Amino acid sequence: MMRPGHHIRRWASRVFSPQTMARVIEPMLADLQLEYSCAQAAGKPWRARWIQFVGYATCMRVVVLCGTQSACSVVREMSGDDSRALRRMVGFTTLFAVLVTGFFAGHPILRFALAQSRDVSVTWSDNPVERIWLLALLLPQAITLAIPVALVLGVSVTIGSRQLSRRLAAAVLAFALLGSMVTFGVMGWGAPLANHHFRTTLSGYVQHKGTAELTLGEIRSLRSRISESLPQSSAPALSTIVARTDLRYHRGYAFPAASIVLVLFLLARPRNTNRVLLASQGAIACGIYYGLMVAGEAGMRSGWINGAVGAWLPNIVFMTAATALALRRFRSATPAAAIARPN
Amino acid sequence: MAGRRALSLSDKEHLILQLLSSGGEMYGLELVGASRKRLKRGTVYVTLGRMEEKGYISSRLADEATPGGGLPLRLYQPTGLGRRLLVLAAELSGQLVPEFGS
Repeated sequence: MMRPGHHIRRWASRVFSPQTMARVIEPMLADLQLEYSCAQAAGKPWRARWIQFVGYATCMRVVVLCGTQSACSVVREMSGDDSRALRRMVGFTTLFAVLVTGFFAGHPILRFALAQSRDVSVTWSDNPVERIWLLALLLPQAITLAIPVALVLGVSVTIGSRQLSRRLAAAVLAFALLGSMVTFGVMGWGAPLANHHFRTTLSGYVQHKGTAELTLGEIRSLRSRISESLPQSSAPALSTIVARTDLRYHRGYAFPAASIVLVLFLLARPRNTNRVLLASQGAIACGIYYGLMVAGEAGMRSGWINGAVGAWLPNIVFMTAATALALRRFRSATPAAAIARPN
Repeated sequence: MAGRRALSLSDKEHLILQLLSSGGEMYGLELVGASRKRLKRGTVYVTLGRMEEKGYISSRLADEATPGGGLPLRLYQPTGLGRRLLVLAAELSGQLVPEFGS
């Protein structure tokens, strides 16, 4: 029989140092296993289950504490200059995230209010609590869009003007990875559920889920159901449905990756001291990314590319550009290139 | 000053040192039980790890096998530095608040 904490121990050993494992994680798991086996031996299976549940909650807390301590020690070991730059980057990104979320969440409200003023058939709740709830339901969708935009602007303004040490570059990429993970969770599950609740609350009765209201798991099962039920030689209209579902599914993975791909592109870009220019370049990069998303969708609709390529097209283009820029910088930085270059 | 740092003792660290000094070798959950809910399961292991790093306590793996064949328990005891700090903390609190001093 597998003892409680077996998988946690295996996973933690890949993440934490041997010292942290020996001093923190393994003593905690040893105590959990002892308590659990004592309860089992005493013939109290429910007590054992409760101990297991509490033990796992403790594990999560300890893992979070250890992770935070590790992250803090990385920041502490940075030079003062790097540490200041990182703090500035986190601060600016958070500020941009709040502003952009406000913009994206406020935009549909404004459109709705304008439509209501023109058309009496469009009704907006009179109850202030319900209005706040509706506004809150718009936040997940807005956060999904705001995270990559805020990261691009935050990194452009604060990091774009300086030479990066390896440690600072790793910390910026770790921050972008965190942004990608949050976007993945919110886009895959939070936003679809919030969208469905929004429509249901507004109409006053339970609505059937539209394609934009399906979680990533639901899209996955829909996709496999469609693929199983449709023969390969089906009508073009049906294959378009398959491609569209494919696009929605792959976008659930491709769009969260935008944060890390765009940050990689920004880090590979030549340094510049003009912050306004850097911020403009960041905004243009976001615009181009959006344009490529639209182009990918259009290519999928016209049957030139399949849904997976359509969803990943912006990431492919930006990763290629980032690689080309990094190679160019690397070549221009090597002494051989400096000697070969005339004057 | 490389290699030297100020010694600090938080409330939780003080409590752990007190429990270990009076109760002998203990493992994490025993400390939580003995502290009468003043120590929490979620933080005691991190605090113990930090105290070991500071040199206030030392630990060893239990010799006897754990019932059910689980991981061996880690038992903690105060080091000489930990004991001296505890005495110093008691003296200091006695000086600051004489009526509570021993």
